[in-house]
Amino acid sequence: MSAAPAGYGQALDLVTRVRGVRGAMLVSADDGIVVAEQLMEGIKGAAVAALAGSVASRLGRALEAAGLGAGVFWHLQAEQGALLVVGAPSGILVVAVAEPDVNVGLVRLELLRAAEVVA
Amino acid sequence: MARRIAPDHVGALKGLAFLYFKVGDVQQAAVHLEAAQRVAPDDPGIAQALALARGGSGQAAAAEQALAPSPPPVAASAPEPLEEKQVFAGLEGAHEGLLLLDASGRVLGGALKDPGGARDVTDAVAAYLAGVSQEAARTAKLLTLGGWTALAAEGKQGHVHLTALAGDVLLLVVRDRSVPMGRLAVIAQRAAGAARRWLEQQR
Amino acid sequence: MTTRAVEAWTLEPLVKFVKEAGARLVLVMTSAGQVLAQHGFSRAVDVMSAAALGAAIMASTEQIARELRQTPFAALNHQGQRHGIFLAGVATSRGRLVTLAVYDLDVSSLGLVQLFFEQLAADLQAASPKDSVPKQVLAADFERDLTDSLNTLFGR
Repeated sequence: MSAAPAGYGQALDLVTRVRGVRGAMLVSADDGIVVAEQLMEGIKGAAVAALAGSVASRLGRALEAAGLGAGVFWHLQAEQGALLVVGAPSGILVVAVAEPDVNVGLVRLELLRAAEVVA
Repeated sequence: MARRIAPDHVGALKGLAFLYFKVGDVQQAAVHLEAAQRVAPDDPGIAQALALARGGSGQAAAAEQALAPSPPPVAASAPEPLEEKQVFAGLEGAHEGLLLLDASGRVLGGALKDPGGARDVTDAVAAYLAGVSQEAARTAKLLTLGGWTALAAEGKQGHVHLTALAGDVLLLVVRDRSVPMGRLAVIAQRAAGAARRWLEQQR
Repeated sequence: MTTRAVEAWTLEPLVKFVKEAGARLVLVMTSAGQVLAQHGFSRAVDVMSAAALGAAIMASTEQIARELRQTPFAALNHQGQRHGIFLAGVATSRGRLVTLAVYDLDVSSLGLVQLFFEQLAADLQAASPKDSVPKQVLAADFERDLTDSLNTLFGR
């Protein structure tokens, strides 16, 4: 079994260096399976991957129904944290798990850059 | 005379605005509406009438109707269908791109059309959003993020902002890509406030 | 769609798994293919076929693992265009059980099924009767036991 390409680590580094980000992952959008991860302790990677994939899939259908096209970026805000996701054309989701007051704009930019790396 | 006794009486101010509309003096009507709004900023009828009055003399008739004394209540009548303008009066783009729905995907108010404006997509979007909100709630719970409060998404042709209001009610705001996500969040916050007030009134 | 169990302790874990994972069809069975609980099946013949085939797939892959001198595979997944099939074993005090789950790719995903299977495995382990002795199946009783099980699984 081969290790994840080196580019995946670089892609995740872009995201995890943003202050307030607790972890970043690459997730297969179709399966909700982890492709690569850099997570702080206590974050359940498999759960993040599966649930982020599921939300992305349902949200994508809602956006298509509204005639707004494919999803580019989404941000789930919760009381004690946030989930931010960008979809890469390769069918990989770049996911960030973050503190509730993270700089969303900055995380979005780094997620988009990471998505270009794994595209 | 009422205004001499109680210059800030909202009913009197609205009544005068109504009379000015009747005689075609939209400018004076707007002045009195603004005064009424200063006293009662949360009155959706005032906001609606003011928005219509500012929209030009062509809408004065609609504004006059908004201020007309309401007919006496009819006993045991079916509840009126919600007009989105009643909930979202005064908000930017109140007539489109705002949707209030429950967690089962049933529409409580508002409507959506596709970006071309030709097709009503309200029911389809509401149905899909029910699934989105359920999954968002489950995600936040299982990842110990607490309760979810909002979900913002950027599509290739527009942005959406979904807010979780109390009692399993959801508010969706949709705008095209010309409206930045940050501004959309502000619009959504204001709309959420209006929706919460309306929901309280229904209880 | 209904969820039914021959052995009652399997029911609650299965109901929870079906709800969370969004699975369309589920069987919980022994490694010999004896069904303990099912969800979503409408015909007895489908249950029998699925159980037999699922048990056979698990037995084959366990043999492959032995040939390769490796520990048995934890789980298997087959992915089609519209559905996926997930098979995994769990050790309980009732013996080794096998779960077969079929999921619609529009509704669920491998990630979700795997995620909630871990919980199902833990729940089955916790709920399994601790003092049970696996019953020896005699040829004479086999047909009667099978008929009784199918009747229970379909609420007859």
